[in-house]
Amino acid sequence: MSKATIYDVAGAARVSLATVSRAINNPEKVKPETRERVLRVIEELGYKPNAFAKGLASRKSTTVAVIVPDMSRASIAEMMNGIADIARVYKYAILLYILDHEETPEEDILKEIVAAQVDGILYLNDEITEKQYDFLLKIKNEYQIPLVLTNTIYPGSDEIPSVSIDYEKAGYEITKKLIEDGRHNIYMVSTVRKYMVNDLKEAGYLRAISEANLTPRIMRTSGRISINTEHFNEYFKDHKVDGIVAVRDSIAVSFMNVARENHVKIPEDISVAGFQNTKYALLARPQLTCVDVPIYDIGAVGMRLLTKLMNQEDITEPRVKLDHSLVLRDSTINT
Amino acid sequence: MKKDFLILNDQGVHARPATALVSKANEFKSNITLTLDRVTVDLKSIMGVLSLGITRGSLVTIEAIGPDEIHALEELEKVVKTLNLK
Repeated sequence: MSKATIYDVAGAARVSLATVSRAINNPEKVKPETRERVLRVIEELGYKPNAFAKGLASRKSTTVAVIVPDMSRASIAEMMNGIADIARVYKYAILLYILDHEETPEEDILKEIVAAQVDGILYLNDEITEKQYDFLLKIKNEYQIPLVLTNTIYPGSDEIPSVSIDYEKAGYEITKKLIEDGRHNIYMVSTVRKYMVNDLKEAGYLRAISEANLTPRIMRTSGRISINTEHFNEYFKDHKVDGIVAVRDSIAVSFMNVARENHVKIPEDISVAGFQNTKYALLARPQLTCVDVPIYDIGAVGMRLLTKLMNQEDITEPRVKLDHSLVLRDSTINT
Repeated sequence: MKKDFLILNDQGVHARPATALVSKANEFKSNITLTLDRVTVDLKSIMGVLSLGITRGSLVTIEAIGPDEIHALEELEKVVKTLNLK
């Protein structure tokens, strides 16, 4: 049997084409009995409205823009899995914008996204400045496009909803774990570039360190392995260290590799911990102790929150925080 | 109708396993809930389920109330069993 068309539905339900269309797209404009009859016929005939045609006719796409800083980061890739699965459930297509490989300024990319008439925006860039946040607010308020910050947070405002974990608390807990290992010279290895979530991890680290009356030691390096390897070699020549909390797994593993090349034993000489629990944590030897961030879940919940906003449903909490946990492996002593 | 389940897969009810469970629950008309430590959420809500943070070793209760509750619980049990084997 050939595919059922809107003409078949209209004929079988004894209504006009316009009524079929309204029953699907604006059900409140059709009498309930008529609507029920049309929907029953649609089901019987297996009619599927064409998504492209639907978008064209109503001048509304069913598309969300996902803005990511860098697709090659393990956390971003896993987050995309969660986003894509939920987008599929709610029948949204994804338009992907990757900032790191763009010569164009972010503001121009955002303008392009607004012009593309997307229904919503998931913003995964965790380097948000005040200026950027203001621009995002403008998109939300003037252009009425719902936005959700996913795995990033803007501490100054919750006008744009966000989904993340409590990074400050996680930073506190992982640092406390190293203090319990009997470590006194614990470094937080963070990034030179200012990422909002890394600032929160640092705040948690500082709270644990000051509670234990230790000296805070923050080293800032690059997320790029080729650069931070060299930096670690240089920096730790004349800095005493017995504990490392790195803001990303990849940075922690990079540090462990440098330690190994210098015949320093992990965890006997230095306890090392990271953030995220990506596959790098499992692939490293020793396997890496880290904060497990439910990154797929953050993506999934971010996308779900956005679908609620796009459907103008009420949301109870603008700042959604998911649970994290500590995963203890062989890069710490764990007595 | 309700049933207890011990969650034994490494990820707990997170990520794809959670999405699979919620998608299955949405195929039924019954009201379906998931309870962990006296906190009950709608099993048809991805945000509710993921907010529970169900880890490996958790004991959860799934309850279905409605016209297709028996079938729903059977099918959900199948999903949980597949997930636990992985």
